[in-house]
Amino acid sequence: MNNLILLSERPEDIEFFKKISDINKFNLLIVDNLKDFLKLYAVTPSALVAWDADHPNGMDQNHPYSLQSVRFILFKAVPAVKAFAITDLPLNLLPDNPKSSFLVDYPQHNLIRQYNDITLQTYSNFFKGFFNKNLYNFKSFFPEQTKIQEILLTDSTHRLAAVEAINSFLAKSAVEKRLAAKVAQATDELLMNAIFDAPVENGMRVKHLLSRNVQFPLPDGYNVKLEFAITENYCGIAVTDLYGSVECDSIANSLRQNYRKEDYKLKYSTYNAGLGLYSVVQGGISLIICYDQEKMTKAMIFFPNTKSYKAFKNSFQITAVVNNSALKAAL
Amino acid sequence: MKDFTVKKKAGNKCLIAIMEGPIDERMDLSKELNSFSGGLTVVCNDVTRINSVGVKNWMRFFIEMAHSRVKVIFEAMSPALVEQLNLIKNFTCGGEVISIMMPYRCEPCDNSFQVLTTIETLQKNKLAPPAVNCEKCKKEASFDEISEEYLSFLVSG
Repeated sequence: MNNLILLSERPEDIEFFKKISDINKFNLLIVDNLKDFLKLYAVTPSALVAWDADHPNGMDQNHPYSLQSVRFILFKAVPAVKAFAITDLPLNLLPDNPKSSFLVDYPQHNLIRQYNDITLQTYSNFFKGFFNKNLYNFKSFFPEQTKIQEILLTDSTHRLAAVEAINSFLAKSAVEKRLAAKVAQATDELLMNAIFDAPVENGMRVKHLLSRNVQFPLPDGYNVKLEFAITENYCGIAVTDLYGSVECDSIANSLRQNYRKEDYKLKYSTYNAGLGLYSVVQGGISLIICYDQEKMTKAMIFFPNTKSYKAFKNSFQITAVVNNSALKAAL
Repeated sequence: MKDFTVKKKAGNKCLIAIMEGPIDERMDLSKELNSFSGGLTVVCNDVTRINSVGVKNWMRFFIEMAHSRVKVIFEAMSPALVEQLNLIKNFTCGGEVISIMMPYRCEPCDNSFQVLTTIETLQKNKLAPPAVNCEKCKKEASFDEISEEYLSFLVSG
């Protein structure tokens, strides 16, 4: 049984999760206070947990699920890999960030509360991937007949051409021009991470300090795969490397920064994945990174297929960094 | 594939640098803009996107300009750069933004276009996007952004 616990008293959360559960035959368990949550979780320890993480009264200690108490309980009891914070804005923009170490130390996933039919479709696929303990199957995020296109990068210099190919593909597919450029930029970040940040030898990163102009081959078995697909309602792009060298905590830390409030400090001697991924998520694009240590990393982005940029900004957004082994152990 | 380019021309006691294309690791402003006197005016309505390496290169260059006490003015910042203004508080490194491109859309004509607007105008209008007519049908177009988000750099700045 695929158990999904929703800790929320918001009617819109409840209605949406009822729909998603009805369609996908999830067993939805709804609670509106921490006491009931604990009772329920004790008997369904393999459940996924979605919770209202920005309740207007959440900072009130007397509220039935104050943010502080939920955070404490989640941190102690629920592995972050199966916890989903539901918010109106990305987690890093919660009022108590960046002071909150919880947001960094507990790398839970984030679902933006923009409920519509496309959100229903995308979040359904996302939860199904979790319950199947397999988020690597890019095709499973799309309707069955969707064509998945692939480009294999065998050299570091293929990156810019691949980015342009994505930009052209989206523009020809009538995706809004600015959105196409934004997605091309996001693809560029994923490719740079896969080509320059991912490679490790003897546990040490070996390419991350190189200028992104440098040419080197991506040898057999360590090619970088770019996949993309488009449907009437949404699009997706995936980048796969075979290093599996993602550091979940480090990415969570990058994603939870808020450079809108605090200056971004340039590091002159290092390149890292942080700023690029921060921009992807803050720009409104869904980002799912799934990895198995020393085996594989698949970074996927999703976005609605809209003609209006404003419609894109008002659409679904998922952010998740998933250690696949941890997920298997937790479910 | 369109590369990043900078065209230069002399302005009134300043150099005018007109940027076009995507900003990434290929952009080296310290080479492109290595000798000039007076201020620097950067016109960037045709900057289509900027990746994280581009952001770092951009900031390195403009931090140097600030250290050298060069007065930097940004004109016609494209939506891709306005997004960075909103994401990174210190993106201009002390430079002054005097105008930005505002994106609009006419749904019936399926027409997306941009309009240059000064910061002064926006501030006079209490950050309300100006009413703009579609270039094709001449009917009123809608602002194709969430205005509170797009102009948030003016509030927090």
